[in-house]
Amino acid sequence: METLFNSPEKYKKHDKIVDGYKTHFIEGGFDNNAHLLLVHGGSAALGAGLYRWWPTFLPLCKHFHTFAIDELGHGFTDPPRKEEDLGNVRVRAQHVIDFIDQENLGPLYLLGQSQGGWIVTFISITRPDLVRKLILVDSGSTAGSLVKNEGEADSQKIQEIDGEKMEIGSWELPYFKKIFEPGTMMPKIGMLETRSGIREYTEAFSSNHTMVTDEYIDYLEKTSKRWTKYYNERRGKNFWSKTNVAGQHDMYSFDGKHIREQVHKIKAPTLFIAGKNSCKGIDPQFQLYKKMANAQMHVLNQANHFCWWDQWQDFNDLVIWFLGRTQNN
Amino acid sequence: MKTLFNSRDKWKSKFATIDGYKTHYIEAGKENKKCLLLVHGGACEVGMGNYRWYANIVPLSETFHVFAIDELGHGYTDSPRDLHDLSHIGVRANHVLKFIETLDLGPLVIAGQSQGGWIVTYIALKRPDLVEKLILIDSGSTAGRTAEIANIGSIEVDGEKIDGNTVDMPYYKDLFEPGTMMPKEGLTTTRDGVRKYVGSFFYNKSMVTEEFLDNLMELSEKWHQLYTDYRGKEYWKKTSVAEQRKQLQIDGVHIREHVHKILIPTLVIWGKNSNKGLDLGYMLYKLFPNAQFHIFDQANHFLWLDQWKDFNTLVTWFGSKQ
Repeated sequence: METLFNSPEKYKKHDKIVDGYKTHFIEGGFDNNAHLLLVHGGSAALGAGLYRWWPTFLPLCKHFHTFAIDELGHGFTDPPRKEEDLGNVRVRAQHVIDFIDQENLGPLYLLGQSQGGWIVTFISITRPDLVRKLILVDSGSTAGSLVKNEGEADSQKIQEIDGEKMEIGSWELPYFKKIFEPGTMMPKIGMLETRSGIREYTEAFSSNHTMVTDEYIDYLEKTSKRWTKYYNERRGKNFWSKTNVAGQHDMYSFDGKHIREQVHKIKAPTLFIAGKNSCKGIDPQFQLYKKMANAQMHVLNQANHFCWWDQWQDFNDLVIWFLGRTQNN
Repeated sequence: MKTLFNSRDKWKSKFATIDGYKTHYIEAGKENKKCLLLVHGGACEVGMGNYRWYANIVPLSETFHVFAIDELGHGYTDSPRDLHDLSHIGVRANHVLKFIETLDLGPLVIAGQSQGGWIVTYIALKRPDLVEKLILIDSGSTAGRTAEIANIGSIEVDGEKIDGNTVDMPYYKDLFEPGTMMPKEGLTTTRDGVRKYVGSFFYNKSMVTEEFLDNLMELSEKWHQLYTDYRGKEYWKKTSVAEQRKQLQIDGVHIREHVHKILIPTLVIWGKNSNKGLDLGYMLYKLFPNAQFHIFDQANHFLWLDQWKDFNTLVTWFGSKQ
């Protein structure tokens, strides 16, 4: 398996200024192939960025001119200028749009996981001119796991999340209690200060713990040194004393509606890949899929939220299949 | 599109004697490739058989040694000895199992659509040693109906809400006499009737081609009277849809209650616009312990024709991957 860690000669690292922000990204594959951009999800307080694509990036480079970006406040990119914007998906999405525009990458293939799925969905709705095809990967933030709509049928009230029956509207997913302080999405105090804590935190999102490799933990220790204290000061106790999980979810709405109520507007052919064992819940993601207008869905087995690790071979194959395919006639 | 009709040199029509029955099948692809058996669903009372795979067999034969069987009472295969067994799913399943044994095809990849999905699931349960990988295609009969499933409540079928207490599907009212699964007058005997009947399972009606209809009309001449005699008014006088569905049970419970035992790598494929209901497909998928699920868009029950290109490449990938 060729990875970002064992084959550094196969891709280029760049740092460029985008909207005044120093922005880190990597690039691989042939110039004359179609552009593909990988957009990562949240970092919690670790600042984890694009190197989470370590088993994905190089296999995709064989077929696509592939880019992966570190979003604002993640990896080796700058934090947002306004402190309150740290972690905000809208602000991160605008930065990704600015990056695509500046580097003149569009229209391109967009692939985003979790909050990165929200970001690529947002781009597909608001800037359809930039998007050729869209791939969403296990995105609870786009699905609105456990967010109840007004007038929603009682039959949809209970959903199964990771083997547990959960009531819609209860907000807190079963995995929260493993890694977050109660009533928040703040990592348990002290958890990210040790290598074993960082490992345990990361394992909560993966079915196949052998994919939580030492090289990846080395990387997280590096990002954590840069970011954990920064996040703790801005998204720590003070932040959560004023905010609850429900309030935090407001950022997933725009133009007065949750993004899931707007996915029917997406024009680009879409593939939604999810993990059957996702800690974000497969039921809400199936419900999200049904609202999409031009989409296929694939559920991987023995796959948690980080399904692109857990089933990396199948994941890479499916992405290559979907982006490379031509439709009937 | 390479089809059975335009690529006649790429496949062979063959007969074998299976359990005393003259059995027709199509064979394509090199013998040294992995075997893939395609198992069709119901006859639409015209005896529709393996030609429904017309856009799939030749493309799949580039990777697999492909077999497509005509089940008992379908296509160019004999009818069952006891004509009361016509269309009986268990009788057809045992015949398919004997076909695999007689031709010594196992372990192989088996793909079944609709009732054919029930049949391949049955084989995976009875003889897991014969099955390397299992592919289920929009198999409502393997899933069941809302009234048969505890706590499922109402479901949605292609945008329509279905009552939790019914075994009927919305499309029944267009095709079947009330309270039965017997097609309305004319749907199995006239070309326009057959086009309407079969077309109701397609999203892309242009895939009900004239060549395919030629085959269906030829089969209708052979079969429709037999189906009228044994699956017509007399049969439905004695049988309700719920009663008929007991055929789908194994050891007194619906087959879906058994699928948790199947450890064979499985791919469940469903059509977003299936007239059997996507919700039921999703519910069924979750019962399989070692399965992936793929949903095609703009795809009804006959999704392997609606989205033939994606279907062929996806099955090629799943069937051949390490």
